[in-house]
Parts: sequence; structure tokens; C-alpha cells
Amino acid sequence: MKTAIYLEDICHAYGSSISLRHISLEIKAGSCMALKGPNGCGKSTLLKIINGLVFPNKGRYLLFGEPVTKESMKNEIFSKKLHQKIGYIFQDSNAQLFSPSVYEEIIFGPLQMNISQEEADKRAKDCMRLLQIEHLAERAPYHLSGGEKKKTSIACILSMNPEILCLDEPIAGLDEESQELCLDILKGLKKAGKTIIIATHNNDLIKNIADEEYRFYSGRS
Amino acid sequence: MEHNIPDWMNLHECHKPKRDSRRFITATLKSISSASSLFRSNPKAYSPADAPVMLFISIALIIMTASSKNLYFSFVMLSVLSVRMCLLEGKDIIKAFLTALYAGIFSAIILIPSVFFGSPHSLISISLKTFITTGIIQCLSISSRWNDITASLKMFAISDLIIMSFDLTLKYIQILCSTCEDMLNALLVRSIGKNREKAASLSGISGTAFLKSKKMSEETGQAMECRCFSGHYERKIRLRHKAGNIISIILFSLIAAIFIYLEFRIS
Ligand SMILES: Nc1ncnc2c1ncn2[C@@H]1O[C@H](COP(=O)(O)OP(=O)(O)O)[C@@H](O)[C@H]1O
Ligand SMILES: [Mg+2]
Repeated sequence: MKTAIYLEDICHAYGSSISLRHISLEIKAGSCMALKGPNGCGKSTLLKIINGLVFPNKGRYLLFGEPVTKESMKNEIFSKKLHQKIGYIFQDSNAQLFSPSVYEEIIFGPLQMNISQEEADKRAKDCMRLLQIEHLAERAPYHLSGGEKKKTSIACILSMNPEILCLDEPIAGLDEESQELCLDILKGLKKAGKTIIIATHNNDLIKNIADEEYRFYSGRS
Repeated sequence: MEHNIPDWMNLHECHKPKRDSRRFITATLKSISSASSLFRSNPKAYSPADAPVMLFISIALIIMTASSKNLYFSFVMLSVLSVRMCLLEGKDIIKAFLTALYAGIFSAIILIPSVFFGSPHSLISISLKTFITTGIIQCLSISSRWNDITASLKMFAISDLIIMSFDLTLKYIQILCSTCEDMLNALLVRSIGKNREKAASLSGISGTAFLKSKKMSEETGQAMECRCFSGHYERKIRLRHKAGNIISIILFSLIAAIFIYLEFRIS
């Protein structure tokens, strides 16, 4: 199997507070990696680094063999390709949703790809059906409940059909039925050959889907 | 199984992005993060004295500088300020100095007409005073925590409720900045091609931020009610730097003495 993501000796600090110490990690294409650890150990930060939003102070990050750095992300074509390849579902779905309606939120990504309007519309509808949120299509995202927001944010990433999915605490705050639904979808995506990275401290989720787990120790140590 | 993923998700996406201007997103991101860092409570507050003392001295110095009719006093203040600035950390010196300099230059430009109306003297004294007062405020805000500063407003008989609203405002500025930052990042990671409706996306962000701030203030209100808030809000001020406080007050008294001497000797 190809290596999708290769991280070598990553260190990161927000100003003077250190968030990641010497993280080395290799994620094979098509596998599922769980990032596990207590609150504040830097899981979200690592996902932001993988998505090219934050840059490590030290260390190397290769995506399919290509280095991702502050300089390479300045190249527009490169960074857009990266953002299409990697889908990122934020921990706080409040922060992720910015469109006036759920439908527009979900069709936002596909509309920017070189596919027809009909195809984009089909994708948006498929994603809403997949996450069982068709009835919310016309609602405004900021008025939804926490779980509904989470499902909307998952749908708006899936509609771009990324190869790699980064999920930050995806099932926290979902009811049991929705948790099962998400698990099913993730299994389906894995079968379709997608690479999945999940930050979580939920052992059930890890047991059910992860091939490997990376254990963080408290960022302070 | 009813949760079958659609066929197109099984396919490998071959996306060839088009060029599109993203300068607006990145520029907005930059300005928001610098705005939020302005209000971030400075974790390494290294003020030589405690916030209440510093706040009192700063306000008194500003009043003295502004009301002084004697240019000598402005020069005394200028030297005091330069010494104070030198006690800041390297990066902060530049920040404080440049901010004060911009303010001084700005007021000088505004006052250029006064030269033609026959009072070139006011051009110098007012822009000098602007430089000094801005510099004093910079030194205060850089070296003390915002939270300590608001807490010490109590000293000036400002009611707890107003102090609380200052505190909440500072907190909300932080939260809203970080929310906007997150939303812009969310927009950035999904801007993978040509966005035909850029303006709509950005107005969506500001609209959401506004609605969110409204909701947040409602929820904070409810949360406070649930915790039996009765309008009583008190911040404790702890004095930590005994020696620093005394030295600062002594130095301040010296400056005040100079001020009184210069002002009243002439008149
Ligand atoms: N924007 C930020 N500015 C400063 N510190 C931050 C920021 N984001 C996260 N941190 C700090 O970095 C550490 C790791 O955070 P995070 O990656 O969110 O942890 P996790 O997701 O594992 O709970 C925490 O101590 C947190 O306080
Ligand atoms: Mg997190």
C-alpha cells in the first residue's frame, strides 16, 4: 500500500505554549488511523497541520510523497488540490458552517469542482440522503441542533468526495442511532478505499473501525 | 443495507483546480488574527508593578501631559517614556514605539494647517503629546493583563456591572475572532475551485458571526441566571510586586513634583 501521509518528528507550539512534541506517524492509503489521547494533547492541532492550516515549527510532512510546507501551500493550485484530497470535519461544527441553508452548505464544494450543475445537485442530495438530513435542506445551519449540525458538516465534506477524511471527534454529541449511522458510513467509505483519520477518545469507535491507533500522551510531557 | 454510499464516492476524484483569487480570504484571516492577538490577555505580563498602580500612574501621567502648558514637561515625559519603553521586551519595544509614532505623525499631519494660521508651536506640542500619551497606553497594555486592568477600574469607583461588561466584551471579542478565524479556515479548505459567489460566502460568514454573537449573549445571560446571578460581580485585586509598586509610586511622585514646579513657577 502507498503511504498517504508521512509525518516526521513534528513539533508545534502556539506562541510559547507547546502543543505537539516529536510526533512521527505514517498513514497508509486506504487505512483508518485513530488519534487517541486526552483533551488538549494536540489532536486537533495535528489535524490542522495535516490540512495545511497550521505549520509545524519543526519536522517534515509529506502528502503522497510531496512535501507540504508554508511555501508549497502558497501555490494556489497545490493547496486547492490538497484541500480537495483531504476533507476536514472540524471539532466545532458551529465554526464550519457558513452558508444560509443546509442545501447550499452541502453543494458549496461540488459547485467549485469541474462538474455540471446537475451532477453537483445529485451529489448534494445523495449526501443528504446518506446522512438522513433531507428534511433539513432549507433550514439555516445555525438554528440546527448540535447533532444535526454535525451531520450537516459531515455531509458538506463528503460531497467533495475527498480521498482522505479527517474527522475531529466526529460522534461526540450524536445520539446512538446517529452514531451507528456514522459508523456505517465510515465503514462504507473505508471499503471504497478512502483513508480515514479520526481524532477521538471513544474506544468503541476505535475498536470498530480503526486499523491502527496512535496514542498521544499529554502534550505537556 | 440502507446506508450504502453513492457510486460516485467509490470513484477516485480527479480534480484539476482552476485559479481564483483567494487573496480576500487570506487577507481577512490575517487581519482577524492580528486583531484577536491585540486583545488576547497577555499571559506573560511582566509589568514591574501591579495593574492598579500602573493604571493609576498611567492615567495620572496622561492627564498631566495633556494639561501641561509647558513644553519642558513634555520633554521630561519623553525621556521618562523612552526609559520605560526600553524596559519592555525587544519585539514589544518596536510595537509600542511604532504605534506611538504613527499616532504622533497622524496628529502632526492633521495639524499642518495650524502652521498657516500662525501657531506652529501647537503642531509640535500636540503631536509630541499624542506620541507620549499613546506610548504610555501602549506600555500599559503590553505589560499588564487586560483582565487585571479591568479589575483595577474598581479603584476609580466604577461599578461592578460595568467592569463585568468590559470583561465580557473582551471575552467575546476573543471568541468571535476565533470563530471567524475557524469559519474562514473552513471556507478556505472547501475553496477548491472557482467560487462564483465569493461575496455571498463571505457575507454568510459575517452574518453567521453576528447571529452567533447574539445567541452567545443570550446563552451567557441564561447561564448566569441559572447560577443565581444577582448583579453582584466582584474581581479581587491581588498585589504581588510590593517593591515594584513602591518604586513606581516614588518615581511617579518625582514626575508629579516636576510637573507642579514647571507649571506654577512660570505662572
Ligand atoms: N489557537 C490556539 N492558540 C493557543 N493555544 C492553542 C490554540 N489552539 C489550541 N491551543 C492549545 O494547544 C493544545 C492542544 O490543543 P488541541 O490540539 O485542540 O487538543 P485536542 O484536540 O487534543 O483536545 C491545548 O493545550 C490548547 O490549549
Ligand atoms: Mg480537539
